Amino acid sequence: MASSRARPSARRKKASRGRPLRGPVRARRGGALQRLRDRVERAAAVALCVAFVGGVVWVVVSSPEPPRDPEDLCAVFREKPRWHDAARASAERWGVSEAALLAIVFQESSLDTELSGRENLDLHARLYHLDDRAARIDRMLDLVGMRRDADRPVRQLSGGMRRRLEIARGLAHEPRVLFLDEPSLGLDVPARRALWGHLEVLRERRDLTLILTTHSMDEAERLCDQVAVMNAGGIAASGTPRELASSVGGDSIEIEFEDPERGASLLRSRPDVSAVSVDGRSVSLTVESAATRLPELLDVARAGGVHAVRMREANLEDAFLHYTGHRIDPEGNLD
Amino acid sequence: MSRFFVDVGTIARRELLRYRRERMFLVGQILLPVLAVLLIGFGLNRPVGELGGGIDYASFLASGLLVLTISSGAIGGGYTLIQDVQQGFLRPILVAPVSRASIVIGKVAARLLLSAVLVAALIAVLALFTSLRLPRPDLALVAIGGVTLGFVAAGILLATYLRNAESFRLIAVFATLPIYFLSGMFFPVETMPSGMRALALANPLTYGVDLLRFATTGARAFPLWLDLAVVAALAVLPTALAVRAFERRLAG
Repeated sequence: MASSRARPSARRKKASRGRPLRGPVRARRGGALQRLRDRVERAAAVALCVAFVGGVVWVVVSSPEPPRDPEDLCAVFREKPRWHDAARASAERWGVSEAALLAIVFQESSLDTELSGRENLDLHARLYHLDDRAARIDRMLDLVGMRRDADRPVRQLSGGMRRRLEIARGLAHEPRVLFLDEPSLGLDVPARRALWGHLEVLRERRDLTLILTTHSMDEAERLCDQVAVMNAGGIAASGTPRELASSVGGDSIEIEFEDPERGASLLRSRPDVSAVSVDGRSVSLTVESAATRLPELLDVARAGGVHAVRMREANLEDAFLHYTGHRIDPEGNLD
Repeated sequence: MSRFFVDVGTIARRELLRYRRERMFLVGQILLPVLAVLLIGFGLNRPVGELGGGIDYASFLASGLLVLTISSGAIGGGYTLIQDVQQGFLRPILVAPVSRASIVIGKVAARLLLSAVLVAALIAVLALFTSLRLPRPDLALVAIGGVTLGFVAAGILLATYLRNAESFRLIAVFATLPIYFLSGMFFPVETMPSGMRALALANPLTYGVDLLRFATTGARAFPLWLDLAVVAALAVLPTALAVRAFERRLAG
């Protein structure tokens, strides 16, 4: 166990709490021996901290109070690299003293494939010594839309169904914090959409904090209130998706004009507009929060004779690439 | 403490639910020894004649096959614990407020129950055509407990080193074959050639077979205290090693 490694406090102090955006935090490079020891310690549970190394986005959804500061959670995982130890430790740190008040949905399925979904849930309800099991399990199955298939053996179920069952199982003991390690990994589009729908419902519950890791910017943008971009073992940046996206440059707008020179000069006069350039008949420019500014800008530039407008909002993917220096291929994998 | 026993019961319940899905396998585990007694036992009954303790070969073989059934089942049962680790099933349980000991003990308890049920069912069927009975149910339970514990532990130990199912099955067969044949299961230890007999006497399972044979037929080759002592050791020593190996496996 890794309890003897208590080094993260120095870095945590450096990172000022509460401010939404931070500069990159350099990773500490341990010796080869240390890395090997870390690997051995982590081998039993592929954990958040392993994902850290790859520059995974780490998301806090719907937080009533516990993990305000993502760096705090990272610190916990550096001390206790294995999921179950880290989960218990972070519960203590956030004052959720009972380990029973948190749950983890692991990346790999951890259901008993020989049992039915209902039997799997029942097993866990028993291990948590919950009362009123049958009704509780039905409620959880409804929550993830798995009531109909609950009595089929898990081995007959698809990946998306299994993931939803695991979420139902995790929620059965009414945790305050639910960890999800890459919940949509390996799911096809309908399964992922269904999963997101259920997570969005959970997100509205004010008594539950969801923490999830993901490689998918869509997922982060759609589900999260707070995002932390992880790179090389530290937090490269954190904030709301919108804050992160606009922190690496504003939205871009492209306007086609009858008279591009006139349009461009009108737009240049605006102080909130930058990087105005003319290319043929179209003028491109950068502005913060294009969606709200656009009507006003078009008003200003009307004399140029507007033909067409294209707009591209800054997104999380830009921010991710900026803060990690990584690229992501179309399937959502890191280079 | 009562919580601990509830958890043991919960884990045991899950094991039994799994076995319920393998009903045909359990039926096979009963049919196979019965067939062997009918075809081999009665085939050799006359050429072999009466054995030590005044029992015929069919009854001798039948009592030996009781041990074969529970030990081969138990070794596979031990393997399933490591399978649980590999398939990630134990991870959420490790997060739950459940002690690790209750996981292992629950698994063993389920296997013990299953062994007892299998032996009872086998005796009920075999009693129809052999002299197998249950004069000493107390000693039978001791034998079943010792052999099951020892072989569950052996399964866990073996599985800690052999991580894939195919190699486990292969090695489990090769490793157990001499143990079974040199245990007095199929033929008496007393009449073995001296070198072979020495190996059989060094084999702890020999005494488990002898104890269960005594409990079901009244015939035995060794003093009762020796049987009991070795069976107790068979229950304790491998289990201690297996618990250590399992803890290490979980930690790594």
